[in-house]
Amino acid sequence: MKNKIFLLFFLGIFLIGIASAATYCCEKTTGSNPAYCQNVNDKTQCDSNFKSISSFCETSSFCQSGTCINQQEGTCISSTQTACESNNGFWSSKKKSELPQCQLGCCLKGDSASFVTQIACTKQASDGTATTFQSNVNTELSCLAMANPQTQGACVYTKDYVKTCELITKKDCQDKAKTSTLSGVEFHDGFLCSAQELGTVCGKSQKTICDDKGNVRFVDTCGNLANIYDSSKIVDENYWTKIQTPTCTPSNNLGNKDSKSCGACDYYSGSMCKDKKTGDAVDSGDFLCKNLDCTDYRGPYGEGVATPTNLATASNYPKHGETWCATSSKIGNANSTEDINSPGATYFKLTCYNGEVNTPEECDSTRGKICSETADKTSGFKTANCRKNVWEDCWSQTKQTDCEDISLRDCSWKNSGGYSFTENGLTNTDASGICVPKYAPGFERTNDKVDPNNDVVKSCGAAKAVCHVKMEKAIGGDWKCAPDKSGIFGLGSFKNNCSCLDSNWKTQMNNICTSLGDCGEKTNYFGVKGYAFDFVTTQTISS
Amino acid sequence: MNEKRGNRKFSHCNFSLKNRRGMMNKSGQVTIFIIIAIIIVAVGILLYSFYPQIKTSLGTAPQNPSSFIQSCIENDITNAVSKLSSQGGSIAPENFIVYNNSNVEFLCYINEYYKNCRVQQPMLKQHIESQIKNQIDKNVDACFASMKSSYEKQGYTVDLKTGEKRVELLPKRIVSTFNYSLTLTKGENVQRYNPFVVVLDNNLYELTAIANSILDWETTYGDAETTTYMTYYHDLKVEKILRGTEGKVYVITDRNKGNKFQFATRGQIWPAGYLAPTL
Repeated sequence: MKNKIFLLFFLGIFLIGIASAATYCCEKTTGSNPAYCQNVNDKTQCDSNFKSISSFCETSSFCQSGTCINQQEGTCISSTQTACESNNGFWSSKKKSELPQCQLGCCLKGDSASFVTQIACTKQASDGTATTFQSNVNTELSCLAMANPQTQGACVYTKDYVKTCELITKKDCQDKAKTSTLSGVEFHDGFLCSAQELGTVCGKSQKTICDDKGNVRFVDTCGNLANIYDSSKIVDENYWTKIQTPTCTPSNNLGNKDSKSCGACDYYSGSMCKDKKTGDAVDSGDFLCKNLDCTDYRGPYGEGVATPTNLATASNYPKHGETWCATSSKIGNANSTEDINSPGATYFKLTCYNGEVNTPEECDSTRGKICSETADKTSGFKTANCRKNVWEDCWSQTKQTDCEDISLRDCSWKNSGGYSFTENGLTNTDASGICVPKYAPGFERTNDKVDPNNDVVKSCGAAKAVCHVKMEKAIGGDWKCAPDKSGIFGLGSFKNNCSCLDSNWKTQMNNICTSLGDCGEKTNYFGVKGYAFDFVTTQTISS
Repeated sequence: MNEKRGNRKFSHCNFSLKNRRGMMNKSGQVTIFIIIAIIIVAVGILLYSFYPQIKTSLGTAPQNPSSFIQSCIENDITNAVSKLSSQGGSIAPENFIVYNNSNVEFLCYINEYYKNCRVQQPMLKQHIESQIKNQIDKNVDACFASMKSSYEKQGYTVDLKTGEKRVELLPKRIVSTFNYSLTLTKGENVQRYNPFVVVLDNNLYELTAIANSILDWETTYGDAETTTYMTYYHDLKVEKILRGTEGKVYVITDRNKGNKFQFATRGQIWPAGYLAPTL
């Protein structure tokens, strides 16, 4: 009986323990961040008007993950049942990839293309323009590349006794013949309205305009688009007769950036049709293939991770589409990873598009993610990405090859003077080196204070080193480090740690310490040195 | 040489002015000019601030009722669209992050570490449409009432039947349709108007489609690559602003029109250190 009472008592404690650590899944939470399907520790955080269950949302029926289908628009998005149905969506427990109505394809409508579902494609036809859905096209880029203008030509007609013309498709021209009161409607496939042989009032002009493909095009005197702007062909009769592909692209200026004479722009090479601004020069018209490189940018840019002192110049600036890495650290240099990992420093990814450098994208506030950059060997074109800083298992690596295996971790091998990490901190084990994070992780700062219980903060303690030195004092003399003794046949030999008294030892230990994170004596990202204190303490343990 | 000629002309002009105005001294002239300038500015401000109301009370309402409704409600729609575009699609966000003085709604959120976020607003387009509709609802009725009274003052017999209000985000435009029926009668002349359609030149439809795509990436991979969108869509600017453990804000901007849509997400948040704190 006594045993049973004991058993119940322990069981009671055990159950109380479970209950206090329980997780509830709220269909909707309350408080300052009300949201659907969140796990909480306290049931009172659940909105009482919605369901809640004592389990994780991942296993609950109402917060099960699935696909929310917008049947009107033909769009699908991963969502929980609750969030979907409370917004009048149709929810399916299946994944998007398993639902035929959610499969994307290429929707061709007139000159444009979009990568959407079949329902969305059908909806696009609601304005009367026919659409074609191609389910076999499975990437967005290949779909957008299919956007191709339908064959255009000169639609000649007589209006108010004047023979005029419009550059449109054959179908539009036929529609014009049916629905309008125009007379003598004729379609001339591949012809421009300015063609002399058509005998319309439309002729050559020196005016230009941007077309919807981002090229500079001539316009005729009636305002119709003509061929791509080429100043050498302003008066070329042949160039104003039939629709032609441009031939003015020189090999040394891909995309005709800022070209005075050619309007064949190329977004992917870094040019796009834009208005002529002060300082721009063109032979004719008011538009040009504007250079989309960030030529005016003078912010951080350089080899490796750019610091605030590595700035772009008039001859070395970011190219259109380029992404590169930068750090907020004002100390260190681009090619060293040590100094730029100063307390408070973070990594950024910068982007140049359309002649503009976007708002820097911070990778992580505590260097949990770092910026990684590669450059094309030939062109030097940079591509950067924020990626995880894999530093967690550096300490457990005892071989240099394992430590510096970049496919597995972000660590570096340091000369440690024989010290290695042990349970008691740094201990002299005659190790050949020590493995530390390459990009020292930072501390979380809340209201300018560091949480001392944080694991990273605690981890600084791993670099605690104790060195025992035997000192001796001659009569009337000073304390000195006792020299090593070899003894006779090993008997009476003694090895002392006199090297610990050198300032080098202190520096070496501090280097290991500072590599672990925001630990040890460091200068912060802004260039302010940390509180100076003697981090080597001497204690007499026996006399 | 030209300069000299110019000076001479000016002095001649000044001299003739003096002759015409007799003994009026310079300071008097300046005072009058200042007063006239103040009056012009004040009238300008009044007209700018109360134009539709002044138009109505003066009985100079436009003849076309559709134009009346367009001019009366267009500003409200523009303001509503502008506000909700900067707040993640909601007029009064509940779960938000403060960014650039705006309360930006979390469209995808999780309160835990390491996990991908869960979509909070899977029917974003419909949600925005209903938000715009709710925001302009009262003013639509006020505009129709104002139009009715305006035509009555002009001697028309007005028969106004209310109907359904609908707001739709469509490619490159936002269309508000008010299925109201208006009949104006003056003598034997009867004019009927139905429905009333207000079109706003705005590409929120395209921006929300991009937002949905970003949300899809966030729920699947925990992040979205902004440069992909700028590579595909040449007139688009997509920015991602990290806000520590609070989450991140995405800002999608149309470079040509300047239309902007921004929203927040919170997912794949990693605390500093080895282990995540408990919930």
